[in-house]
Amino acid sequence: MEEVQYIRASDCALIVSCGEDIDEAINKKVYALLKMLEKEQIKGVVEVVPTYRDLCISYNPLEQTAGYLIEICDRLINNLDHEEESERKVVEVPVVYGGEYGPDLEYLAKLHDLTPEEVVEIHSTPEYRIYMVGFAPGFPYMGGLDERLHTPRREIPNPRVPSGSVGIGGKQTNVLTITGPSGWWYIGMTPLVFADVEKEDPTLIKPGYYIKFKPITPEEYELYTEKDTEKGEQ
Amino acid sequence: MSVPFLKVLQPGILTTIQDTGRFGYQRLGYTQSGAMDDFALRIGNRLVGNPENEAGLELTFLGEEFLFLCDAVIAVTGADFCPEINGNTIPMWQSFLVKKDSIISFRNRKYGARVYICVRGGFDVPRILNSKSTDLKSAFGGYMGRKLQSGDILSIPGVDLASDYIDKRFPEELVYNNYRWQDQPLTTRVTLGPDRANFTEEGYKTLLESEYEISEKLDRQGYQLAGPKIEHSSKGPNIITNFTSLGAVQVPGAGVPIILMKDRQTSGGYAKIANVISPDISKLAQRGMGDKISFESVDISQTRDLFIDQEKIINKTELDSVRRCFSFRVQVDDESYIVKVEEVDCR
Repeated sequence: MEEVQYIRASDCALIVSCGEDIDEAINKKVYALLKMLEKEQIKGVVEVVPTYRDLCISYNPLEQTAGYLIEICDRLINNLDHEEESERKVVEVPVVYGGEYGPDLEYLAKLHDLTPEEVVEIHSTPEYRIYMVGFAPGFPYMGGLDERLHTPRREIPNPRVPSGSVGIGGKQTNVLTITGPSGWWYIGMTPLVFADVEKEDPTLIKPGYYIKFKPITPEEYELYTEKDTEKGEQ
Repeated sequence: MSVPFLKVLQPGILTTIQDTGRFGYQRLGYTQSGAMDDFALRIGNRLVGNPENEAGLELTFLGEEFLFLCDAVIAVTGADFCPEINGNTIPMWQSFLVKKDSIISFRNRKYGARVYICVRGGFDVPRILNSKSTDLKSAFGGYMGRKLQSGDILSIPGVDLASDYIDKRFPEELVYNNYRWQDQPLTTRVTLGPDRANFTEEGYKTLLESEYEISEKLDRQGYQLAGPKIEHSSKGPNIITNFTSLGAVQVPGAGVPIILMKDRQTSGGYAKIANVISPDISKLAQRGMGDKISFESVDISQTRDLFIDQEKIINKTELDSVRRCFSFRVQVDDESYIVKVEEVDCR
């Protein structure tokens, strides 16, 4: 395992870098350290953000020093318990593939010399690890996309892709959690809402979780939508 | 009990409710938000006797006008836009009593970019994810998750006119140090890195020896600068997507720096050449389009002392009591005298 590096990002932020690459083992180390760090309940720590390969600790310099944080992290890393990861949390995400729900499915299938059904099968088989959440509330950065579906991004981004779209860009797949411009190819749509500040858990998924896509029919999609509306009206 | 406090007559370009920010949710993708100039907000809260993280109004540039719907104790801090109540100039950095039906307006700019209005008791808006700040992009928090519009009515939890928080003043000379820079360029102190390997020595030289101008691309997310291009090393401008810290100076492929501010995205993939130190964020927040800035490197080991110094100014500065003064003309026999009467502290 690579050595951990400490980088002072600013006068109140310390980066604990667990490796150089996007790699599952490195990312797991980040989360193991995060769990242990949270148990310590360290004074003056304002925010801890896990990313692909780093743990970023924001602190209040009135109450805490980078030196002490480094000391604690060093101690924790020496006792790093990899079994912390044993409880694997998988969130099932229903998706209607193709048609108006996934306008790029046909194109993507042709591009890779597959049938649309094969694309759906390949895409909905793995459990994708959420390496980090960022960019927008509840937006997952996932790894594990089958090589057969790796696709360069669009040369000209689509100016408006609706929230809930499930897409592929480069070596990654994702779910767009806000409506906006995107350079990805969109093959499906989920009825699930990924970010809702009214809920006790303000995002559906958390960093370190896994996502498993489950193909559903447009009729099933409508049922979800109605259920969500009912909830909202209560 | 909720009491209607303020009606928006003219909202200006961008008026939002902000506290000191939303913490603990960046790992889920929620931005920090909060007052761009947190020095001014925190002092404003102190003047009216609020906890320093209470929400205030952040006004951006000129033109705002508000009607008071009840008596209240307020303080105006930050940029000087010549605040007037019913046409009379009012003091800044001082708490005072405003009367129902009076109108506050901001018509002329002396300096700065953002004004803060704090009210005793704070604004009566829900605390969402631990903060009253408006998150404009995700459209929640503050007042209905958006900037204020004409006709909006903001409430306070109750009217408290306790005299302990009236006529308190933050010392003039400390305001001067932070705000009266007139049109001088701002020297922003930065620590170098975290992505040092993505830049050449020449790149660092450019950053530290050039003057930059704040371009028209500036908002609560970040300030894009205009000026000499910064050279990347062979590692290039992209990094594996990572955490974005407040004040990070990121340099995309075109070589022109962007300083990330309170509404920045929680993660980013551009290399960061430097990071503005915390005490200088507030000063930067008061600069606008066309203002000149340069960067000065400080050693990371010195930054804690600089941070503590600034916190001392915010939290420990003794507030002056403004003594009210009245002049009377007194006639004794045929002689006329001017008598000045000043309030004294009797406690």
